[in-house]
Amino acid sequence: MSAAQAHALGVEPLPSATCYALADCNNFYASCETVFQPKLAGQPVIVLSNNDGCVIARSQAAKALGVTMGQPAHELSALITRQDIVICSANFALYGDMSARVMEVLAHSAPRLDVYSIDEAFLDLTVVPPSRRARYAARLRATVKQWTGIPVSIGIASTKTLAKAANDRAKKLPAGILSTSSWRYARGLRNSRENCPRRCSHEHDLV
Amino acid sequence: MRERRETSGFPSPAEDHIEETLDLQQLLIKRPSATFYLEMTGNAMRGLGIYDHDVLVVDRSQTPVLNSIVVIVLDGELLVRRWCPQPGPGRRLLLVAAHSAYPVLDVTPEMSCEVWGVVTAAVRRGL
Repeated sequence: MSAAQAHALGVEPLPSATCYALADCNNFYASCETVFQPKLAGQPVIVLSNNDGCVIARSQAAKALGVTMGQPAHELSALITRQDIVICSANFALYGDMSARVMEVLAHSAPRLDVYSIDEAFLDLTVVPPSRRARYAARLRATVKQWTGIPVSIGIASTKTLAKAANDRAKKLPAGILSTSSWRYARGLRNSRENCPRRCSHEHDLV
Repeated sequence: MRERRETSGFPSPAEDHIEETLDLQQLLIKRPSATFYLEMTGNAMRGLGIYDHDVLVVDRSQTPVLNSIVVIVLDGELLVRRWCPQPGPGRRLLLVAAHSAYPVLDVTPEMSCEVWGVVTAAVRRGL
């Protein structure tokens, strides 16, 4: 079977020219707080905007309790008391510093880095041989976690958009990494509205 | 090297010898992106010259070796201790203070214990 035939059958992805990874920090602001208050690990934590107006970040446990992004804090007072949710007032000086550290670690080991927001960056992995990309990402993820304490998820794909979508799925995997062939993934995207990349930007811990 | 300043009078004889100002950060920090300052609370490490309120320089990129001074997360609390993994099959880990009033902590596998970073320097203010 030729490569093209295998591709047509969905068995083999065509070798792609470009490869991007999106490294995105998990629950970034809440993770920053947890680095310096380790007892918050696993707890429902929310970070509130300036003057404690509304929710701008949620730990995994807080998401599970149904706290939504941008929700006004006063709507949550009953839930906060009932579930013992930890509230952090936004500390942007800290988040900015931690972001710079994460980006520096990424820049250190990536051939080309494109900082996309305070907690995410695209890495150009085109020069990394395909067979090594997953291991490369795993090592990168471990280094960022050790050096900065921030957990990141990494989505790898042939375009930035697909890398973003892959990242959204990577977040739900224990390994935190998803490498995907563009063709197969594009089909997956068409088949399910849930996987639409626009959706992941809504899910983002940023306003 | 600093840029030469034009003077109307006699030029500084030190002009060609100006170097960068000594910088504590440069002296104490090898990897800025992985290094954090923490303030010591308590006297558990007094015997090793780390006192209450000292500023600890903590490098998270380093892996502790036997007898490293480490910041540990033990059941959610940050602790400073000496890192003493024991040889042998049990893979026991002892966390040793440098003060007789603090017992040696024997870390069992059921305890949640994680290295936060390795202390590479301590700075004392207000001497």
